[in-house]
Amino acid sequence: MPLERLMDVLEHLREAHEQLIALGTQKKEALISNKVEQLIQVMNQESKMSRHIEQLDEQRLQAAYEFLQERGIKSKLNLNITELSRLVFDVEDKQRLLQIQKNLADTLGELKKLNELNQQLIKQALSYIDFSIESMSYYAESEAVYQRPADKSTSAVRAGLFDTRA
Amino acid sequence: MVSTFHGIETAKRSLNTQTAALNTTGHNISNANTAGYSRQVVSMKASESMEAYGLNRSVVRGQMGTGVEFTAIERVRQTFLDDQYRNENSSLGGWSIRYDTLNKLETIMNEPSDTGMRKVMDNFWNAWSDLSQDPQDVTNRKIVKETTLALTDALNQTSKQLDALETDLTSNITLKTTEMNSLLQSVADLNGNITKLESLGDNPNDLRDQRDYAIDKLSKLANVQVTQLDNGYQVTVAGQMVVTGSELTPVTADGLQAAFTGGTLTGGEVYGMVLSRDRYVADYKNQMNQLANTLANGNIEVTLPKGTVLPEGTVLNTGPNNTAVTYSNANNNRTLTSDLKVTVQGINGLHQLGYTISGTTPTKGDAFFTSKDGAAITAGNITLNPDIQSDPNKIATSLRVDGTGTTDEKVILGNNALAMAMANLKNVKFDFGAALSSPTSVDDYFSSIAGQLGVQTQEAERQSQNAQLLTEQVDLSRQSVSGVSLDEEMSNLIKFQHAYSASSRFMTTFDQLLDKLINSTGRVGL
Repeated sequence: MPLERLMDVLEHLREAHEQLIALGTQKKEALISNKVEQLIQVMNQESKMSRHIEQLDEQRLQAAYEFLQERGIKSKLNLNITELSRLVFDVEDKQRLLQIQKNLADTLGELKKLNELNQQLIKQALSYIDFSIESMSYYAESEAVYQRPADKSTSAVRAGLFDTRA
Repeated sequence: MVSTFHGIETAKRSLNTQTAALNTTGHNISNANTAGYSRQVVSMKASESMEAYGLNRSVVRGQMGTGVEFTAIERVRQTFLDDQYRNENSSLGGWSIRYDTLNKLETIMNEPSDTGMRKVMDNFWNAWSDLSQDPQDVTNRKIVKETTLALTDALNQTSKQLDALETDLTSNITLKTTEMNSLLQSVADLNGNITKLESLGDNPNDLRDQRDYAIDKLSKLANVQVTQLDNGYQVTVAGQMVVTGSELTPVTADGLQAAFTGGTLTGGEVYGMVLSRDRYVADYKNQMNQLANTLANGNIEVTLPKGTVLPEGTVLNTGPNNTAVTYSNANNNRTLTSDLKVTVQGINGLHQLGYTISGTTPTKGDAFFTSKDGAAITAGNITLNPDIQSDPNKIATSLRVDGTGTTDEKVILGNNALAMAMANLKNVKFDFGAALSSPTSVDDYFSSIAGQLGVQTQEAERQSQNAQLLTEQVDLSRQSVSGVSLDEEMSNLIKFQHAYSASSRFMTTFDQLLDKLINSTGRVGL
């Protein structure tokens, strides 16, 4: 039954996002304690998970479409779950669907907040790295001695610690 | 040509330098647990070779080295991370106080619970409902009186607690200001000492650590900015320059208040306190006052049933275009011939449309709620009319009288129309004036207050947790730069000890060479 399938997919989506939350928490720990290896590992798992979510999302679209067809709606409407729930006539099913929707929304909200925090943490760490590189590859803005203007382009050597020419 | 004792000198310099390194390592180790300490390193450099350009230059190939010397003992510290830490610490201070205050507000509001305002309110409506079933029963009247007193007491109590919280925050601001000034004073003093020592060419590392630590602590109290000048740190608190060199301009609570209004106080505990007091607490006080005042006087729409006899001289805005109509015997319109929809002013307004059951001649109800101090009704001063408190029969319940004329008119004691109307107010929408765009029931209004508080608390909790984590992260990066690693110090210790031993071995060797040179050379055959 398409409705069952839809609810099933939504439930799977929620589970997937909950795993993302678990990964995000690990990522947070890794970021705070500056553990790059752990961070890379978590990020790999995250990208795997997001591919999985993409697949689930396609299944969800398919299930929603099938559900609409079953209800006799031929066109491919992009309805959200609140709108879909109006087409569910069984009270119990409707309630279950709305409950699943609420759970999913809560999970997504939580994930969003966690991601915002991780973003802040990354930003903070990056700004330090940025500062460090900047101070090492310091580029002299004003030169101490005059030069022939024609020579200028060749003598513009960066006075940094790194040889940045790759 | 180097001198004969060149080697002894080299060995001496080496011993001195390695000793300095060992001493510094020891200093680091002993301060491993000192707050605000940053590890120190001895920067060593090969000492100047003696051969300068000149006519008397020797012809020896290359320059003979002269050993090692240390140029400075420096602390390892990143000011960039300090700035980052202080910013986050300010934000943490602000949010943690906000979360704290909101938590206290939640305790004051005490919703949802069995003892909170909503429960008291429910009891109040229920008492009216019970009274309407038997309006002459003296027990029911007393229950209305008691539940009303419970309601006004709860409002009074909430208002008192909010006032107390406000006073608390104000006195805390003063306290924190004192704390800030003592920290700033120590920064100013340290500035003076550091400048003095630096002018002698020293590196006052430990004093600098203390100064940075004081700034760290300040950053939790308010947003702080530090600029390094020749005469030490120039400290700006909430946009105002407070320390230059060893001179201090103390911060004041009023000054910080002004900085808050001006938008330059943007973080730290003081910011959190001012904001909590002027926004959160003030807002909730306002809302509670609005609730009390609206309950007593806010516009509500009620329907008076057909047959109601309004008290002589009642004025209601029921004419065309809401013009005032006087209901009197002279106008012969006191008895309503059909249901009348009318806007009255709160419970007080409604209460004055009915008759009490005390006395022999019909007396209309008095204002139900009054203020204790005669001023406009607020949550702090609302109470049940003292006349009603002493005589519950003065609660108006009836909307009808019998007989005509002024002499033989009698109240119909069993009529419960007014009590019913009161009980129904539970679901009637009150006009809360400018506080809310559309009228709403008292219950809903209170729910919205509690709901708003819940959302604010949740947000503050999240923000303070985030700030906590961000501060932790910078502090860890800072520790990884400046913190003392005991393992590293241990290996340094061994490293320098080896160098010291080898140097002393070198000195002994040279001593033996010189012994040979001085005591045995040129004494052939002796």
